[in-house]
Amino acid sequence: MQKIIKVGIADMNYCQAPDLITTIGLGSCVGVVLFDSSSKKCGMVHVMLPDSTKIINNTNAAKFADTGIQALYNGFVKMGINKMRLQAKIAGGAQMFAFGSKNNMMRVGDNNVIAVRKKLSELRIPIVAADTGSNYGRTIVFDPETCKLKVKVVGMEEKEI
Amino acid sequence: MVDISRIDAIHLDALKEVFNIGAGNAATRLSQILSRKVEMKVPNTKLVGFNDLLTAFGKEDTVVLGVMLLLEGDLDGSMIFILPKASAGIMLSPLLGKQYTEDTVFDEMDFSAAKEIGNIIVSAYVGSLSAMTSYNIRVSEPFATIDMTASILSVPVIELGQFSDNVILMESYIACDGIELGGHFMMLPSLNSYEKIMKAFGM
Repeated sequence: MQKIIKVGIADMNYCQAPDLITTIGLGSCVGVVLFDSSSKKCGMVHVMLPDSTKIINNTNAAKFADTGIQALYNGFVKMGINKMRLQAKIAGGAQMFAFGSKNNMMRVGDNNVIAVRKKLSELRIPIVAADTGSNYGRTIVFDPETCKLKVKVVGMEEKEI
Repeated sequence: MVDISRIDAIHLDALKEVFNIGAGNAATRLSQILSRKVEMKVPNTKLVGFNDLLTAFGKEDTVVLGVMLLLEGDLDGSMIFILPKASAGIMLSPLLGKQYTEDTVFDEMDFSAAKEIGNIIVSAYVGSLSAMTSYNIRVSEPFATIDMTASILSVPVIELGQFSDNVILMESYIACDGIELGGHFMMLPSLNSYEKIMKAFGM
């Protein structure tokens, strides 16, 4: 039986084919998928904020781009997966409301995407597909069998990246 | 540092009373504008974790109208009002004299009317909070969008996530001509403002 593993906000989990992994309604948050196409294993983290070092309330690693991606990566290392084989797909980081440029809430999505890209580059994990920015929410489903990431947006046709 | 999870039943009850005054005022204004019988109440205020918040509104991918206003003055932060898209149509229909369906794509006029309704509701709530705390609170122009519940709520949750994993949710009862609309309202003050509000409530 194929299961669909759900990742909540500021949450992470792993998945192996034939199961699928999903996170629903990414807004300004970013969904990061790390996967190894040969063992058909993957992991997903739904990060809310860019940087754990700037926040007092930082006990949940999955909440932040820096610690969340690191935790996800460490899990793969523990499973004995060759880290050279890891690849990434990312989605989210939208600006949901058209606040004026004065408001720093406007840049949350962008800042999350920048922080995710920086952390992945630090870990030397290539981003092979991305669907980020703009002003709408995204539901994503990753299939470790095909290594395709489905992106669903309200009022638009579903796409695969 | 203030710990939101420390808030107890007595204070949640006090907030509920304050926002019920706001709900009453909002209902009166909306009844006048829509020429419909609008009822609003806040039957419950509760502290919820982020993931529980996203499902408190139904499913995470339920399509809703979100109207958000930023707070300025003695308190800062934001207020957000969420209404299922189908219910938004029921409220807007008397205002714009047209019918809405599940597939209606909101145009500029629809959004403008939706913002006005969100503005009336949020301003009434802010007014009651202002009267209770004696803080001078102003609201920004309203911002609105239609999208999945979880996507819209990610905006306030991210703001709040910098100092808390919980949020105070005002469960709302809104009905238009006896039809329950299922809207919800959230207050998301900044950390500083949380401290001020708690102080005003004697915490």
